Amino acid sequence: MELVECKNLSKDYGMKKALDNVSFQIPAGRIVGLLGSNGSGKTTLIKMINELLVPTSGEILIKGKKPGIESKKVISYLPERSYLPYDKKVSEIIAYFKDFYSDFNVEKAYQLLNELGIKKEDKLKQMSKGTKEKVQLVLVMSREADIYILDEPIGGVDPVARDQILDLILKNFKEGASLIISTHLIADIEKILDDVIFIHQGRILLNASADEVRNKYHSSIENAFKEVFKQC
Amino acid sequence: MLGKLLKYEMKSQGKSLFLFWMAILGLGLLIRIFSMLEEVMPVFQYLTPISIFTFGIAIVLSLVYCFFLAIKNYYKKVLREEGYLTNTLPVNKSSIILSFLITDVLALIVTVAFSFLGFFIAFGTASEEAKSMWETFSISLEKEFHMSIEAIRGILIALMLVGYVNTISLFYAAMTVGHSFSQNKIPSSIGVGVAFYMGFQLLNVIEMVVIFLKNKMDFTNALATNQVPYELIGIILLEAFMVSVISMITTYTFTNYFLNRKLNLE
Repeated sequence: MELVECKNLSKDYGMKKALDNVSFQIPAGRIVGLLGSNGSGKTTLIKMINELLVPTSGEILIKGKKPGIESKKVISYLPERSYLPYDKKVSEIIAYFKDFYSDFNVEKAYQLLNELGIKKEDKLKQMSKGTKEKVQLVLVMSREADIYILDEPIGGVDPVARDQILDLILKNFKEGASLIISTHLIADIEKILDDVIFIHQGRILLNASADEVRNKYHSSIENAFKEVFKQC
Repeated sequence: MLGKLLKYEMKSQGKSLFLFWMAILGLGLLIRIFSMLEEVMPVFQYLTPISIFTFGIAIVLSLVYCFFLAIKNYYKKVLREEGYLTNTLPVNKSSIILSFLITDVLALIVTVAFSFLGFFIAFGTASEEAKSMWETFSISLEKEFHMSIEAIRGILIALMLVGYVNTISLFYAAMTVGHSFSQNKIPSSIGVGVAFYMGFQLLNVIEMVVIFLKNKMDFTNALATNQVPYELIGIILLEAFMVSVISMITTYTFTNYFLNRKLNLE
């Protein structure tokens, strides 16, 4: 069974089409890059999978079921923005996650925080934007989920920290789970991708394995991406 | 899961209101101390009224803040950035709404309880004269309404609580429906709120007209004899209660439906 299945998905904002008849499937155990420029529809698509937006038409299935409580139990989602209560301490947020997600691993969370030099007594409001993003990522990667969806996980950090974050992601996602990473910083993540989905103006331009793309265009994913976009 | 949601919401509201509660108790204590010192030091004759005034203001402010907090927390935690956390928790949307409503009512009850406690600290028990007046008033109410004073008190408290929940639920529904639009979310929320309010007021007016037409003679007699129509007051209060309950159920249903089917978090 596919972990994520989108069928003819569309989303309209008035006259503007944010997503236009998007269909794809994500099987288990894959790392998928959802690649596109800003405003291409990546975040809209991810929000719909997480039931934060409702599609205008089409269908989403998570492990064969429509999004709901069951899908939220198996998806670990990192939004592209700061979404945690800023007046809380790290330890309080960890307790919160532990209470609501049965697959949340507290020991792992503290271990990752320790590796990143973040103290559990620290308050989010006293942290820099980059540190807050790291805390959010630790929370998401400390779950033993079936699907990890990371929206622009390296968007707000400097190039040195990017490798650290990618390393953290790769080392900590559950075996057999799938990982969807949305980004416009293709060069930084292309080495870890199994599959790629190129999205532009709400439409999927290409959906293939990373190796197929490299072979077809005889270049890196980033260059292939540029070439595909030139043709539109 | 409702229990877990309640735990976090109560902790959050308790933390925000704690200072107000302590201020009420502190001011109550201050009034008591100033009143005792009045006889020894005349300056306290001026300070006591000021502290009583501040005490009153503190109670009003804490009640207003209680209401403000109820609206702000829902907006912030469900419809804004923190909504990304709240709306992706593996819990029913109805549990989310209920956790906010229950916490809001409890916060109000605790604030009122602290106000009474503050009164008690400030003024002690009621004087014999006040007690006797209250007893006479209670007996006349019992006689006119044909029920015990406890029952009357219970009905009035229920009416106030339902009214409070109803108002908050209307705000929740207005904000949730308004935020399902892609643009002009705040004006849309205000528009939806006004529409809900007008609708329920219309329902109220219709029911009042029906009550008046059904009891025309009683109203006329009451006016002619210049007597308080207690029975009619009871019917009107019951009508207000019914409209509040209908309004509450309607707005709750709207909020639940829009959070489930029309959520548009941007």
